Amino acid sequence: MTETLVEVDDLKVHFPIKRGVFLDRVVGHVKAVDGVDLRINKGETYGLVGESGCGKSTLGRALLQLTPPTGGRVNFDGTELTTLPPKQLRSMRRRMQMIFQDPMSSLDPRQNVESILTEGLQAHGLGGSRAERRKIISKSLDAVGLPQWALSRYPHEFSGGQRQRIGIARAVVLNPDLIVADEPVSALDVSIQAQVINLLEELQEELGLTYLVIAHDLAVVRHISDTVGVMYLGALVEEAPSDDLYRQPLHPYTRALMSAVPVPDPEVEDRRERILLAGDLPSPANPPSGCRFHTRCPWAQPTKCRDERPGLRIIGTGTHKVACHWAEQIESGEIRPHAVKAEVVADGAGAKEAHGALHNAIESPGGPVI
Amino acid sequence: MSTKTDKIDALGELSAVKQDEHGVSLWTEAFRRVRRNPSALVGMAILVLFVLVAIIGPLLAPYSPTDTMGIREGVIRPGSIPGPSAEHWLGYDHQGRDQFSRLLVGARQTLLVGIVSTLIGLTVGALIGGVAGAAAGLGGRVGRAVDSVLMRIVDMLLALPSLLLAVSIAALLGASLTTVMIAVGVVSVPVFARLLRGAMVAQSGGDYVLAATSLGVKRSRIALTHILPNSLAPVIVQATLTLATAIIEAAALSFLGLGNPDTSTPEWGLMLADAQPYLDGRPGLAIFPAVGIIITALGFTLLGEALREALDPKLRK
Amino acid sequence: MPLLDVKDLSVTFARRGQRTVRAVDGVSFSVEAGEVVGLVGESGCGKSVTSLALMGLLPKQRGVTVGGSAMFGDTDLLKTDERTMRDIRGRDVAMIFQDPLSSLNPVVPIGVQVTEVLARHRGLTGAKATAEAADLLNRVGIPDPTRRLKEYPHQLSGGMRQRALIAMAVACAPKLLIADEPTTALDVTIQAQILELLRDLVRDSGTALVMITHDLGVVAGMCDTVNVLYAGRVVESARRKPLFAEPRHPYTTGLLGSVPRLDSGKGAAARDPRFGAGRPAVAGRVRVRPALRPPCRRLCR
Repeated sequence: MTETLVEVDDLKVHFPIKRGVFLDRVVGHVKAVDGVDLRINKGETYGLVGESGCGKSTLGRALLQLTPPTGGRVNFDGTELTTLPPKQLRSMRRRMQMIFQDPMSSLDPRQNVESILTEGLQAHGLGGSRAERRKIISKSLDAVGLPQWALSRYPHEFSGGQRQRIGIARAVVLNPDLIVADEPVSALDVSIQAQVINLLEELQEELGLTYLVIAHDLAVVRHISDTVGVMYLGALVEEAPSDDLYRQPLHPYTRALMSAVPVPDPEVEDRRERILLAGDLPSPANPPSGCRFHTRCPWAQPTKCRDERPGLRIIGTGTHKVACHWAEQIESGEIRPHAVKAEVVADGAGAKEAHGALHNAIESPGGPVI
Repeated sequence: MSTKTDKIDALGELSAVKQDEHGVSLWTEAFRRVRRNPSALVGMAILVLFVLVAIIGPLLAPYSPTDTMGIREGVIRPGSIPGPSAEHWLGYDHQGRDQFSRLLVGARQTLLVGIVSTLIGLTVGALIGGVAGAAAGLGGRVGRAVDSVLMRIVDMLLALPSLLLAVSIAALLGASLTTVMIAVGVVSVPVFARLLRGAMVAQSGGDYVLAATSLGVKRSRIALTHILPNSLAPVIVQATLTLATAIIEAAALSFLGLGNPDTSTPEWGLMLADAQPYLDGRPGLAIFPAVGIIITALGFTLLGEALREALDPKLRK
Repeated sequence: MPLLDVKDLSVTFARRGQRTVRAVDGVSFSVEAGEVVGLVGESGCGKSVTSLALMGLLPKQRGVTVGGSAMFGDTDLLKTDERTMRDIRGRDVAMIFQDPLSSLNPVVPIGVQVTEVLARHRGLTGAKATAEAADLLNRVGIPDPTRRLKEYPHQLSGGMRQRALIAMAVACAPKLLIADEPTTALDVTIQAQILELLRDLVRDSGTALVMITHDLGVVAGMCDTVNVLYAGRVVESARRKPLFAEPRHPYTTGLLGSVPRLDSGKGAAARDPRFGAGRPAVAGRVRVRPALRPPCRRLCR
């Protein structure tokens, strides 16, 4: 029986866009996260993928209450976090930790490793005496595969991969239940990435951790996740068990995303069909009406897509959820992809309307992707 | 595993620990880099010389700096002040005192003015900037309001021309050496305040601050143990550079007659002021203290620039 | 005769008080006309230094020594003087960089930057140059090119900036294009657009392309020949398919094994026939590359 550890309901994070010299005037909102529901089961890994600007990092921070959510609820093991008083929230933080993308900037350059690792223990009054604390932190050093002499060293004396291990040790030293890992390997070299991913998996087995792994790299997410959620412009467009999602992506965006990932195999590369998306990601300050993806969707239909926002709905076996009005028809080949004109995307609140033809139209017929 | 290999392993580990007992902190690293920088060495050499003179100058001085021996001996006449000679290396000043002795003894006052006024500016400025920076970075809505109020006050200070501000303070408190120190110190307050606040606000957006928050560390502790130490580098650099300008500004105030009313105590700025009427006949009277001020300021500036380079995180490998 | 023949290229950086770093150590490869050649390796392997050396863009100062030869037609790119090099750069050999924002001048409109290249190498000015610039932007798939010409780099998205940079690079129909991690700063769907564009350009214009990347997937999808770099040396050089089917050097094997692949999942994931009969999926764990350290330059840094 799987138990739910984290329950997120209709989470929203809107950042105000301010203008003006003397008095700040709010001229609009960047809807970084705009209505996300998700469940993370105990001991499992939830992978969150999406391209830059889709709001995945903001979602992770809002879940941990590091960025205050604008609306919605976050329930962590029976406790509602969004309404929790600051003091209780602070002591709750022991149970939910974070691993950052850039191991250098997330470590205070003036702290040595010992002080980095003891800081959390001290903050929560754990470990008692200095000797006891020392025992705890050297155990966590062992767990992440760093030598004991690292304790007196400073972050700048380590390589990127080792620094990330320090960051992981800092998170596991508090014996948390949940770890949110925001792009844990994207700043590292490929071969180092593999080591860190393996380390995360080992620690999960040993310590019974629950992970929310946020990444733009679909291959990394697939490797580590039980369930994967795909985000586009502040909302989940598809969610499914990892294998199901990769075997049978149902949302047009997921299909395009997966077909865009280069696979280090010439045979696969030569035979796969590519779905090229037209243009750029629309501004989250002025998202398209209806389905957020309809401006770039090769399968977009004249009805519904433009004016009705699709919610996640279960398709098939009961674990695969898609936010697309036409998922079944696309899957069966009833709806065929067509060329899409690239919309010029402007920054800022007031997106200018301009259109132009993009030469690389979609030529591939429907059917299996990748 | 046999006990023997266990022991060897333990020994090996121990020696490894001992060897690597101390990591190299960023401050150590910065200090090492300063030592390798030739211009820093020149700056430090100048400053060591200057401080040495300030401490033991009175012992080195061949004559009393207040002894108007030139008048007593009758060598000073209106329009004729004797220049350098074997007995008086830099000649007499307009009151017949030995210029070289006055220069040596004056170093102490000059250094004192520079250090005390910089310390005043640094302390007050860092206090305002530190509170504003911590409030702006971590305090939420209330914090931003506190920061706004403090910074508008600092802006007002900044809007006044610094010399005018110093003159008004001096006029308010009356002319004295303390006045000069306070005036020069107050003028540098906004610089320190803005600098520290800016650095702290920038640092509080850093990932390691978020990391500490997510660990559950208290905000006040984050401000003190993480943000502040990482924001100090530009302030330290500014302090050395301010020392240089403080000496010059103090000299300017003394020159304007706002300094120590007891004109017999030598001070480089005052000496410069006194030399003004004699620029035509004896430019040396002005040149020597001026060169002293310039070289000292240069020493502080060279050291400050070297510190800036050493502490710059972008140059860190 | 190959279009570009690099023989025994070496670059060393010597700095007072520090150990001399041999960033590139006897690299040889050749590029045929119209061919796509890949230089792959992890950070610090010398791939970017190689490209800068070929373009004559390494800092000309004491301590930087470039050895070997790089014959481009009759000229040796490593020995020719700065003036000739300036003529060759942009006209015969062009380069695309990783970060399009820092390679474009932020205070000059895109149009001016494109027409500058046209004026310098093709002598086009005025309305003719503008028309040609608009045509170029259109060719690289920038919508509404005439309006885009008047805009500044920060007004374009990352993908559009990279397209603008590519437009400038192909403005004079160069014989050789060197692309240094052209898609690393971009999202995957935008990367797919840019790679498709580069493929089209190579196919349509017959330009040879040297593709520098750390991404083996990019290489698998577009290079004819692949050179694997490690610690400043070419450790393996092969045609694309044999390289991936049977890598010979342990480093290549390790690198291939350590890449988390989209077509291999968590645990003993059932293999999907649609992913093709390539190498067997790595079960469970990503394989960690075997330690291969003897001449590691990164340790010296």
